[in-house]
Amino acid sequence: MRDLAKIEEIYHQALQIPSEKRDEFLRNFCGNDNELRNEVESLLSFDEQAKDFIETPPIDVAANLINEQNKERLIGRSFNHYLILEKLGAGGMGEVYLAEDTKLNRKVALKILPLQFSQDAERRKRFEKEARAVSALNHPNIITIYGIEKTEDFNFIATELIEGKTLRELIAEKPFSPKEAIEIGIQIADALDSAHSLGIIHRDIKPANIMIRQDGIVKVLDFGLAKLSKHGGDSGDFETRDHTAPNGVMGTINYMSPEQALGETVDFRTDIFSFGVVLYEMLTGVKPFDGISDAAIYNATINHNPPALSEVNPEIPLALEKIVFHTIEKKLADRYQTISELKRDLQELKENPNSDLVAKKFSIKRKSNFAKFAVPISAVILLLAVSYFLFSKSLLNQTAEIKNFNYTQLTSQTGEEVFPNLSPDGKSFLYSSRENGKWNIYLKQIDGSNQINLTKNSNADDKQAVFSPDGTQIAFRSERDGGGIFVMNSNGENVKRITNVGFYPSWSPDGKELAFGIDDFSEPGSRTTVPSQLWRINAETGEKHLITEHDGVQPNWSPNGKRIAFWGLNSGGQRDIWTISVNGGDAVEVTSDSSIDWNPFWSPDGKFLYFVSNRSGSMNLWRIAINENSGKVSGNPEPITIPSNYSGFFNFAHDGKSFAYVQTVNYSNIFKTDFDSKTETLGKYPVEITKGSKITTNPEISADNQYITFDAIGDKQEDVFIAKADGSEIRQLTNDIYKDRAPRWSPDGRRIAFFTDETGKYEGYVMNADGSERKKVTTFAADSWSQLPVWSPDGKRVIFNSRNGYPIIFDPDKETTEQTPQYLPDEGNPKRWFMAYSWSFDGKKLIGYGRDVEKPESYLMTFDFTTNKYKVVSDFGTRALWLADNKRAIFYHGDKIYLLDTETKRRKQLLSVAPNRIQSVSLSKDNRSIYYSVQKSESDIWLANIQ
Amino acid sequence: MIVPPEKEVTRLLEAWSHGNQEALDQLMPLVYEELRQMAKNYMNSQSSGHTLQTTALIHEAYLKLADQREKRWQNRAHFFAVAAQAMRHILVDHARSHQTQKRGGETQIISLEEAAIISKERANELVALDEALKNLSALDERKGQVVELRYFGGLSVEETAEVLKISEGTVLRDWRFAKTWLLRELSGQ
Repeated sequence: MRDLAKIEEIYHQALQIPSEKRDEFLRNFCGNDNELRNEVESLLSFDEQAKDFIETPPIDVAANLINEQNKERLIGRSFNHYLILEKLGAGGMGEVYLAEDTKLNRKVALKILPLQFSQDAERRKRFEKEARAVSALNHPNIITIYGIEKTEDFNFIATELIEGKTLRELIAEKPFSPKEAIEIGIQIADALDSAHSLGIIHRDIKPANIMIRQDGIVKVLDFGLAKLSKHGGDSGDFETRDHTAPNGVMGTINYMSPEQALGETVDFRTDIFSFGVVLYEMLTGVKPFDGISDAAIYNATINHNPPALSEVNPEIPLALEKIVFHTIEKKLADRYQTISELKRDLQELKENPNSDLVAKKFSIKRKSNFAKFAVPISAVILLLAVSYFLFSKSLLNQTAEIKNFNYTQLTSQTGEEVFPNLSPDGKSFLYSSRENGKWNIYLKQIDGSNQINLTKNSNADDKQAVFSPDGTQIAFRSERDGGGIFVMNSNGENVKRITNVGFYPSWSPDGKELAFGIDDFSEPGSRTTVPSQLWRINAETGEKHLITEHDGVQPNWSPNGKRIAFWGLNSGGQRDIWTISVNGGDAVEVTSDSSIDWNPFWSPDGKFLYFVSNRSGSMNLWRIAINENSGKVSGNPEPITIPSNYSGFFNFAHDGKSFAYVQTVNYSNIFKTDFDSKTETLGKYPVEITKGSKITTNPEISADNQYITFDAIGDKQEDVFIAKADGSEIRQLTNDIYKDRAPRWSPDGRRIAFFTDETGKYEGYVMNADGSERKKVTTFAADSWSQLPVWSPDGKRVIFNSRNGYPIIFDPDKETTEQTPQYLPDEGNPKRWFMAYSWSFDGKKLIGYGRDVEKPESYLMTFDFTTNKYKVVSDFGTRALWLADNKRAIFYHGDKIYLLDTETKRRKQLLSVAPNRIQSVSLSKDNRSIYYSVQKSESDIWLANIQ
Repeated sequence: MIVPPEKEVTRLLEAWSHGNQEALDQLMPLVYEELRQMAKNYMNSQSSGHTLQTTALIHEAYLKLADQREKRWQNRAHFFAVAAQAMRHILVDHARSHQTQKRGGETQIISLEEAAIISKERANELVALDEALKNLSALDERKGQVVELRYFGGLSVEETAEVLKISEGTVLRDWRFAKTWLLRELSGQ
């Protein structure tokens, strides 16, 4: 072994030199000593990777792990007289759980506070004193604090449970009308007024801290907690913007006052400013002080004025505009001095919407923004009068016929328990769960603790089981003998094959027929895009009828037996719901919008169609009135809010008094691992690049290995981000309510191609790597839309895959109007479609996955530009990427990453993340590292009893 | 005669700092046992909220074991060195026994050391790292110590510099080089 000191010396010197000049430096320095040079070079090649290596002591890793585990364990535990039932969310201040107060027999929300501030005696005293002051607040618009309690392990605050939505969720749906905003604003002002009169500053007024109950009552949350939970004094103690915060809370600093941003002392007027920011956002849906980085937001807050409200929405009255701008004056002295003054103005405006008294109160000193307000007053009055009629549909008149439920958790094993189905007598239920990778069907009593595996004798996957209306038979999907729909007795015996295709069987009410769709799905957002026909079949005779060729899955038979509800893909990639006569014909639309709508099921009386939708942010239950015979819907969908972030797979008991459903926690994060293309092995130390409970996926590393791009799904948004290769310095490139997906770097790292549904359907776009100069590249035919982009190795062309077709090649430098798209040759197989995922380094070949219409499985294919030939190279696989040798590829499928030799079809497994799933994979251009995202899922079955 | 443990530990630290190697042999099991016990107790005392750090554990052990009236910094620095070494032993011993042990199904984590070696891979990694670290120490003892203090002892750069009586710049240089060297070693090149 050589002298380490010398190697080290050169190594450190080389690190000071830009990487492109290192070769020269080493040549000069080492001269003919090749051994020395090799040694240093080999070490240098590990420097970048070693950055995070052994940085965290094993005990710290372990403690974190235990901590995570303990958090999960909280559910089902009792603290004092509170039994923890379910996690409701998490935020900067701690985690919130739904709990039962066993003494008073009521549901409460428990906020568990971090331990750190109970450790030092001085701080603990202060905490208790201030917590007492906060809990003394007694006002109808302030959340009631039942108690601040301590256990050995932590502090927690028990509060009233508010069933409603946060302003944040509501704003994301749509901005408020001026009338609604004034109504809500008065209630918020009232709450603040009451707190301020007791000397309590909120310090963290933001939409996420304001809830609107279903009856329209506003509740302000977390009074004073911002201060209690921080270490220091009065100033600057605000959360920093955190893109990966557990519940996706972004841009907390968007609501801070200039004095907070500057770290100065704050007083009551800081709440006034933050409240003004909230008002602005309520009226326009836009944050007045925003930017792509913390610095940009601070700068906007301190130095810039937002656009006039009327620029965003011309219907906003002048008087209201003036009130809002008076609350967000940067100088303390220019702002409203007390909240009661602000409240008075809002009230005056509410009572006299036609008066310009409020407007007159302010001298017109703002030049730039207010000059535009030289609109004749009469026009304003007219607008106001008109708007009064338009704004009459308020939050207050939602029907509340069904809203009180009792919830019971029916299963709680780790992993996924899904597809619940209640027995006709309501005493037991079926569900499916995976054990050692195989799906089984279980039968369990509602009040029992043991389950019976009905399919333990089968070696194939069995799932999606449903009781026949008389409860004697069970229909289910099984993969045995090539797969299909099967029927068995309710004890699991006498298994009989009904079809050799189909998923999600649904019984006709007379128990004679089964409806099913051709395609499967596990998560509606990621359904693959094959048109899935709907069929019905006589379970006795096997007589089959095609109901529709329209794309349809998860059918549900109406109670009178005449119609079938289903969901499928609508134009533009939307997930919408239809109903159709059992005899076919035209499907009647139930929903048509950009939110994901799925899992339709009829109320037992046939008057409502229930369905699952993310239209309010979280995946939750909705219903709409429907005519069971015609399928005609009336009114708008109304929310039946279940306390869960993601629920689905609902079904009613026969008496309609309860329903079972699945509550799922899904999240994915990005990992990086080293890859050695010679030995075809992965490194031992996968590194977690992102952490959090959001779905963060589709990572791709730039050619220079400096940055990654990825997309992440927040409550409703799905946006494109970039970050340093180690996951630090995350920057959000798109920020809109549309689904911006699958970003891919141009080979020179200057641009990013992605696709988004901002025009109403998915189209391909290219933008600069800083998010600027966004350009629409594709315009797909009405019945098709864009999917994943793929760059050519020279960066001069970009593929956007098309739905149900073949890849189309575009020029990334041109707008869609100037394009002459280039099509891949038709291989004369109308039953197949091909989705390219990677362009070989030599530019000659594509690799991607193919699928046969009618079949859910995908397999890998290549296309050769020189011979114009397609070739199947693996009988399974999802996305695949070429290695630099243009011969081998890596791909993923299910829980595994594989390596494939496309010439010999040799496959080698590189990694398994079972029981989790790989969601995406990316290979660095130097073929030395792999980035991939892993999806984790926890699903349990719940029962809701309607009271 | 029973000597109160804090007196005993302080005396041994003192003796060791004067070059008495036997003192270290006596000291090690005391620190080892204490840290192990603390790692075990962590599970019972911990439910939610805050996350333990190695450095906190070691500081706490020092407060417990050493005589606090004896304010000599030297003792504290020496204690950290012993504790980091003890922590390494605890983890690597555990990892070794884990390598040969068969585990079935879901495992209930009962102690911190268990959690640190949650999987066979993790156990193998730790044992491999320990081996590589021995090789590094044979070439450059100080670098081995830097890694032991930083990784197993969780010490900050500043604390490491104080324990080894070298500058923080040297700790940073050693640390960067050692990490790269070890990673390459573990990658089998």
